[in-house]
Amino acid sequence: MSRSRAVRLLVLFAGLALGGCQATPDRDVSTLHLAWSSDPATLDPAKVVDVVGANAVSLVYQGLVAFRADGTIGPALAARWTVSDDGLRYRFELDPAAKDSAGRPVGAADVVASFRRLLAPETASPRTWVLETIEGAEAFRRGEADTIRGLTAEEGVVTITLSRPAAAFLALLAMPNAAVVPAGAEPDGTIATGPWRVEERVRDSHLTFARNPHWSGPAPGVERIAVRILPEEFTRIAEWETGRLDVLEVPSSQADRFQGDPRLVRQVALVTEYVGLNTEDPVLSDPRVRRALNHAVNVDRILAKVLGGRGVRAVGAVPPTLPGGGAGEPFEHDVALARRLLDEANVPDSWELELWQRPSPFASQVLEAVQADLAEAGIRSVIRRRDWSALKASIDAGDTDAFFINWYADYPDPENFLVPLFHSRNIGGGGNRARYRRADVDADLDRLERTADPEARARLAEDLDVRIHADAPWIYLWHPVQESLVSDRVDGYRPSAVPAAERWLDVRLRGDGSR
Amino acid sequence: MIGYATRRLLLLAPVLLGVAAVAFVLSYLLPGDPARALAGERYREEDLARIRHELKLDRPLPVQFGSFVGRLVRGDLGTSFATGRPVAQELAERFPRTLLLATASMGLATFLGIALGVAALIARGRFADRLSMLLALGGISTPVFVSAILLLWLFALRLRWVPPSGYVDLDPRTLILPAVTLGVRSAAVIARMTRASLLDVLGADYVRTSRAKGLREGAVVGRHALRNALVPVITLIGLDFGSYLSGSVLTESIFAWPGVGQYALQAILRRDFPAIQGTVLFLSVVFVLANLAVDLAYGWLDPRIRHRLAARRSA
Repeated sequence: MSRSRAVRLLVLFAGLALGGCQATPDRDVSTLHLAWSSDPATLDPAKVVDVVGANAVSLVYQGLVAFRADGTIGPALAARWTVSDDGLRYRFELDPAAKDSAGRPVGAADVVASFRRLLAPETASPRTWVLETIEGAEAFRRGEADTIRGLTAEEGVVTITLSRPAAAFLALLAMPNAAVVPAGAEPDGTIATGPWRVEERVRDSHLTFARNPHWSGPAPGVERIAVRILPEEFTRIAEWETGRLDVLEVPSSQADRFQGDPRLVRQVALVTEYVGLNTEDPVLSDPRVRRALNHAVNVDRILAKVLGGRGVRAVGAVPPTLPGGGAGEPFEHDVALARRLLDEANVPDSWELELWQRPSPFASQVLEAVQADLAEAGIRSVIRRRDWSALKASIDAGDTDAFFINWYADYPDPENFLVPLFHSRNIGGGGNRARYRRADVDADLDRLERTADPEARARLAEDLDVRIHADAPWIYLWHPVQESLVSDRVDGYRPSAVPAAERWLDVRLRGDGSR
Repeated sequence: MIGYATRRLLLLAPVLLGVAAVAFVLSYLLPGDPARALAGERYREEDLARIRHELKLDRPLPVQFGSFVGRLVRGDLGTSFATGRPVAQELAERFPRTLLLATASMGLATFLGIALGVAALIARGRFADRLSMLLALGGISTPVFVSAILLLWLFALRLRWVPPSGYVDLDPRTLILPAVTLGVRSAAVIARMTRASLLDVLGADYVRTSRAKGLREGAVVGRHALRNALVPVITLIGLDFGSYLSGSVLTESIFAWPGVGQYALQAILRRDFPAIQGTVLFLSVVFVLANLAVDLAYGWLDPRIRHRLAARRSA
């Protein structure tokens, strides 16, 4: 037995012997204590696809630009940038003080290496779409070219030329997938370009992030972030209740018990929850049937009963906090109208709608309420439960009638709620899981991608959102309100618009507060 | 005994081949798609095809099985689709934690269970017997997720004696709640088995002889009956220990214990085929070895078994 193992065992037994003592959390003001519901499978920007992974990558790596907490875009590795009048050419001047956590300068070559890595066929990244508009990216991705034509590096300058105008290009560059890993470093967060570096990682247990001592931005207010991996909601609550966490994202199933708690911070999440309707299904292809379903479901009641009112009714796909969002009129709960629309559409009496969900108590509560409302309008339905992997495979293949899912913003822009979700080129895995296809909508979505003027862009997004809503490719539900508990010892916390913006830079800890 | 153990170890090879085949087929029978699980919520079909190609999922199934077996022969459990790390390394990191939890649970269960069983037997028919067997029945009938949450609520939330969750690296006391959660259930079963087995043994001739010699009841039970009565109890302990070594998914999940159980669960949810197959194989070996250890313990506990084996060898 090695000496360190013997010491560890000794400590273990000593600890067990002290089992009767009070389990009091430490009051260390240099470490912020958080919990995540899962361990990020990877910290590789080219591979990360989930919310927790995006959180982690954004702590340790940064791109040319970064999201601020309010969702606007600010400088990161690039100190400043210019965009040509035609919107095709971006010139980024890099911060000359930018260094990785090992103290090496981060320059244009590192940016080019990271972008090449994301697009290289052998990387097999699922997120090549983030950089797809760069000229020559597609040829490089297919292995038909050795270089990315639209990506050039000089001393301290990166120039990007796009193949077509993309108004959201800066937002795409702020996504975790476009973050820069120092050339030659393992993408595991130990050598970081962001404000934090991975100091310790025990998989499925905890991660400790320490300040990157060479980060050129303002120093974070705490020395360390200690993240516990706690898959179970009950355990997260217990850790919070015993003062071991500084911030807790309140699970929706536990939200009632914390109402009225002064430590609660709320914001409408950039998330849309909906029941997608397979518009290629023979019955659901008729917009009258889809509208009937929307009129049959009493969304306001479900929102009140199941979510305790912690959500904003969706009148479109775009959340109301984004430009162009929240402008539509809700489908009124009108059972008689629903029945009439179904009669007009000649829906056969034998028709039965399959409602698919992942096996979560919350999803079951929602769909059982939807099912009850549909039954009131004479629509028979059956609920099918599958784990997420199986459910997604079925939805993406178009094998499902109707499915309860949600959409989290990749970047805070209405385009991110319209193009992936309704453009016909994104049917299936691209995000358009309702398999919605309309040539005029496609043309306007293409125009939205090109339109840079903020006002014109907001008007176009609003028009599209209202038109698509009227066509009812989904049963529109709500945008949930995200609630976090923030302990009294935390100062400067602001909820972030997207996971990539949550970098805990302004948070400070007081020594005398209780966690 | 050594020959017996060697034969059992040699039998492991065909068992593992069978397990490998079953694990491989089961992975592919699961609905869902590992490539889509890796691709997230928004991906292009070309990227999905590229992921499939890189994971070699676009090859015919017999070819995939062939390379899987080839890797196994070289002692390679493959690379996790989700993390890109060797499955053997991921299991090697987690197994000691599961071993620690299993050992603590079984240690507690064995001590408590045998003590309770013997106490019940000595006080048979009286209140203490009924109470201990009622407690045992409660222990058996309470599902792990209920006892876990009750213990967590009482000792971590109310009394604040121990931390609610975590691994011993963070705080050694984190072992207590998961070990008790698992141990109580096994202790209950062991207590009932110990009592029943002791009752059988106490009717044997050699026990009657001991009593006739004037030995006290405690000495009869403790010195003569208990050792023989423990043979079926050891089987039970071995089976439970083997299953705890396979990871206790619920307990590990509730107490955030980063062991093999959580790893297996994540592997299934992510459709991480190499991780599923590697875990199943590894745990099969562990289970077989745990059972072998139980069989060897029989000989140590009961000389008749040892002598029977020796007689068979000389014949």
